[in-house]
Amino acid sequence: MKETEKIGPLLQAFHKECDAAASPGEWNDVRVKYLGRKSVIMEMMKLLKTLSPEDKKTLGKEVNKAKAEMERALEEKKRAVESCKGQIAVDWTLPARGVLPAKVHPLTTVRRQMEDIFIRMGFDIRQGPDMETEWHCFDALNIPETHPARDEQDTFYLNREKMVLRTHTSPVQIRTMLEEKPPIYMIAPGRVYRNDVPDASHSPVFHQVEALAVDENITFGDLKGVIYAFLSELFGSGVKTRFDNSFFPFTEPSAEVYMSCFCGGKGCSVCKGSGWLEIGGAGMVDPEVFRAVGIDPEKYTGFAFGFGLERMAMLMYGVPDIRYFYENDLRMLTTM
Amino acid sequence: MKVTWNWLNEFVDLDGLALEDLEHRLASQGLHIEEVFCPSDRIKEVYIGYITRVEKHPDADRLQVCHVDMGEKGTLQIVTAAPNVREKAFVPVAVEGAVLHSGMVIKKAKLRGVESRGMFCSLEELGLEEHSEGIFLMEESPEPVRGAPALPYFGLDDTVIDFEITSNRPDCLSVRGIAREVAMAAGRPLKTPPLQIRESNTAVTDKIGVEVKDSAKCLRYTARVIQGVSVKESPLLVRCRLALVGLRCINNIVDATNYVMWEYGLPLHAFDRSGVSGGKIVVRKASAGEGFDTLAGEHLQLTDEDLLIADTKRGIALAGVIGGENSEITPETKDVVLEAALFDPVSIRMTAKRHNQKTDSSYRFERGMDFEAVETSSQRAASLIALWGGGELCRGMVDEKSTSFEPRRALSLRVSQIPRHLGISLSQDEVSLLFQKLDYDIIEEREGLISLSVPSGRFWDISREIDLIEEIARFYGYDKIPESLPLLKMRKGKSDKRTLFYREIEMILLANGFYECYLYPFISEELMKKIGYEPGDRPRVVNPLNRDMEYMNPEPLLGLVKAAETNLKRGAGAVRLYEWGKSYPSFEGEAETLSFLCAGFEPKTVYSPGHELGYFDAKTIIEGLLEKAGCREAERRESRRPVWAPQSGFVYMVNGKEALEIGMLRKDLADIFDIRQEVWGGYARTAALAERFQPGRSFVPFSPFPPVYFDLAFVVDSSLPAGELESEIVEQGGALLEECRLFDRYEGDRLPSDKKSLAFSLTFRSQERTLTEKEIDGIIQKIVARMKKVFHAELR
Ligand SMILES: [Zn+2]
Repeated sequence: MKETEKIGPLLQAFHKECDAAASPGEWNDVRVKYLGRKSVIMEMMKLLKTLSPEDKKTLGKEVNKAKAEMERALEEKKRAVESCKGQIAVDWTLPARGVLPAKVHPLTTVRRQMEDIFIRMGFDIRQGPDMETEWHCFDALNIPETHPARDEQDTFYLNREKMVLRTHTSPVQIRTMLEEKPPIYMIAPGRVYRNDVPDASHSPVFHQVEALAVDENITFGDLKGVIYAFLSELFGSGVKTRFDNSFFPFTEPSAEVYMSCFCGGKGCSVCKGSGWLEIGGAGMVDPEVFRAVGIDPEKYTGFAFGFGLERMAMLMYGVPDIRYFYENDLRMLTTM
Repeated sequence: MKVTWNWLNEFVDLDGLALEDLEHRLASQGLHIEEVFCPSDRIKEVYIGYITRVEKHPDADRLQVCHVDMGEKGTLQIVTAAPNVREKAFVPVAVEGAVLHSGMVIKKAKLRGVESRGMFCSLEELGLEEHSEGIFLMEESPEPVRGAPALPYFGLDDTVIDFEITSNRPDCLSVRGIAREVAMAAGRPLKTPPLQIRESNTAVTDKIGVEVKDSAKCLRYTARVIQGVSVKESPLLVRCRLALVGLRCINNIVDATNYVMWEYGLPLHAFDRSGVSGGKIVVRKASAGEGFDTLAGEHLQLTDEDLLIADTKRGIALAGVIGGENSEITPETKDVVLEAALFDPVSIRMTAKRHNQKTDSSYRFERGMDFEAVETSSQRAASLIALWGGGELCRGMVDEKSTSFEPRRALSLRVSQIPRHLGISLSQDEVSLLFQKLDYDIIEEREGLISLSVPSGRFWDISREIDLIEEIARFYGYDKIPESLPLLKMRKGKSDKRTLFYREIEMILLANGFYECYLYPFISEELMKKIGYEPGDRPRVVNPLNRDMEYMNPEPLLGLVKAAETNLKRGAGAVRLYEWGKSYPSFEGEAETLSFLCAGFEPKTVYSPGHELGYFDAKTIIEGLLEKAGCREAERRESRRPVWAPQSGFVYMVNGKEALEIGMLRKDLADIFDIRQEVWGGYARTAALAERFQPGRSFVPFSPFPPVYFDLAFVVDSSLPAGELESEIVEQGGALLEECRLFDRYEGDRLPSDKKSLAFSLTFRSQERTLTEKEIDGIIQKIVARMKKVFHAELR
């Protein structure tokens, strides 16, 4: 019979359009087209009344089946194309309801990055007091009162005999070596003090991250290797290092550590044209220091090095003035 | 330490070398160049001119009009006010377009109507003197070349190099010392400038005697005498050279001692022979309380630790530190006694410190000078004094040496120690050769062991085997030592509970919008007192940068208040800040402290009406910290901390210690920072909290059965704290009450004025079964009855 043959293609067309519907509007168009008053299905329903009981039964069954299939498909599709409530009223450009979390200080970010690298290399974190004895801060580090190097640190003295604000984190080395036996692999991040008038690159309060390794067979080559490993982790493997002879009473041999500038050695304003950035001091632990803490220098050797946290942060983040770190202007803290 | 290229060239052959070639190598040896300065980069277009005619200016008494022969450059008319201008004089002329030391540019000008096309220069304009009187008139023989550049005439065709010298290298506080490093870097031999010394027949011992009474502090003392000198200006080129390296010219005698000090490092001293009573120098300890007048006009009271250069009656110099007024070289001086000596560095250092007399001389002596340079310097200075001042040099040198001091230190080096410290292996021959190049004498060599003696100039620096190893590393080149990594033995790991805890706490602060600050941990005495602390013997910096940085801060919160002030003044509406710092209430009490505060108006948004930050914002942090530390039940007491406004401060006790605090900053303290809003803040003693923190978590079984909800609203007295009602409900609710949440609070027209309504949402649930309405009814009735009894609470 002619009418029943129409149902197959009709369903096919319906499914195609129903699947393609992508919005409530399109969905409704499909519904009206296939199940509305003027739809083929409805026309057929009307036609049924005019048919013989047998034809009516045959076609009726097919039509009802098709209608039910369409209704089911449309019902499923309805939820899929449903959009948000009051879709026309929503202004998508309004701000989100939640608030973004605040941020840690940039110096904390750099310190953590540095700490994490050292921890992965096998170093432990150690800390010590800011108000330190002169013995821990100087004498034990081979900087006796009688040596001119004692004057070079611009120390803040406290109102108690032989107490100072530590000028470097090195007293933490001393404290650790007194408490622990080698092998020692430690870093001491912390606040230090120098009686410097503040300017763009000096602050009377700043931070150091210092590393100490004491073990059998530690060499100057190891010092260079660890510093390279550290810097290449922080700045990428393209970084180059340079070590110049220098003097620190607590290390021998001592070195000034330089890192290749981000300009690639061409020379820029950051490196003042040299292609190198001075980033810290380093050296092999002086036997006098070992003697002060009761470690046998004939059995153990060690290296120590220290970097300035602010200096690192300035290089890494392009902060032009060290004083910004202590101004705590929210415009810096929120944006950087 | 400034030296000039030409001066350096007198000690090492620099022919064909450029500074850029040496710079890197010198730096790696430990000699860093701080600055390089060429006078010719700064001073331009100055030529030699000859004044042919001087006429009076028609309209100005003080001005004169000069006609200047500039050789090939023609003639110039120059108007000058210089009083010493005269005809037939050779002068340095800055022509149009010239630049002077001060940066001044010379332009064509009209002075009172007369054209002037340049300017005559004084030494001041050439950067060679701080202040000059009049213009510089050149020597007439040999006759200067008219029109030739003027800078070479003054020795300004040179380069000044400023080296940074570390305190272990006193040998490099000299041209010769730096020359030695340059020689090493460039692979060139050292030169010694010829020492011409012409002595008279008068023996020095007839003119001066020396007695050293303390040979522990005075290791060597020498004296020479130069008779019949005339004290005047030093030769021009000497003055210019001294000016270039930053030394002030005094007179030919003192300049000679400074010139030689610069060359050989050793500070020398010249006495007026007539000021040395009894013709004898006695080197002795001062007696306690002995007075001494320095040539700078200061009176010192010495101690018996100070070494004094005396004559038979009194002190004439504080050894190695500063000369005395009584024996200073003056224009009338005729006979000069020249001291060249070596003093014990520690003694000089302590004396200079004790009397606050840090001088160029003490700077050098406290670092340690070269025993052998004493004789050389004495010869050189004596011959220069005789050369520049005329006079005759007496024969010989009085030389008193300590018998126990060995200036050439003997050391031995185990070759096996080189790889142990440096990680490189060198053959014994290589090592031995290297030290010979560095002027060490090899005393003896055995298999694996080198005995050597250290050059006297390095006595104070090289005293141990490790110092020799550094010398090897320095000349081998740090950069050539290959990188390696330590063979780390695995150790027992320690978990770092504190770091974990800090990061947990930090999440609470950040999630609630608190930004981290870094503060100076100082406070002024004034602010301490305003808070209510007696400074007493609290930790104080005795040499603070300024008054605001005098005391160690016992209240880090005030540092945050300062940061809040900065931000509020710069336009921030609301501030939420924290710091991981320390508080310093006493020397023993230095303690890690987390401080935080909030203040200002949180601005209105699309979703919220905005609000003044206050107690409940601060409490968010406190509750979060208690939760993280696992001590929600911590006892809360009133805090007496003086920074809090009355009755606003509370402290939470954990393990019997004050662990957390919250409060409102006293209004008068906020006023100091110009903050009008309420400032709420708090502290966490992180050590006390971290003790309680458990990084582990434990599973609590939860019920599979459905809950039953019930809302209860009570009308109670306005003054009743909601928390009291809530804990009573929880108590009465028993095991089946899963949650009790305050969801509404009402005071207003629909209630009597002294009443409020508190509405709670209760959730009941059983671990074993589905609850029935009936069971809940019983509990609710019990709660309602109890509330009525205890709080006179009525159901609403
Ligand atoms: Zn660069």
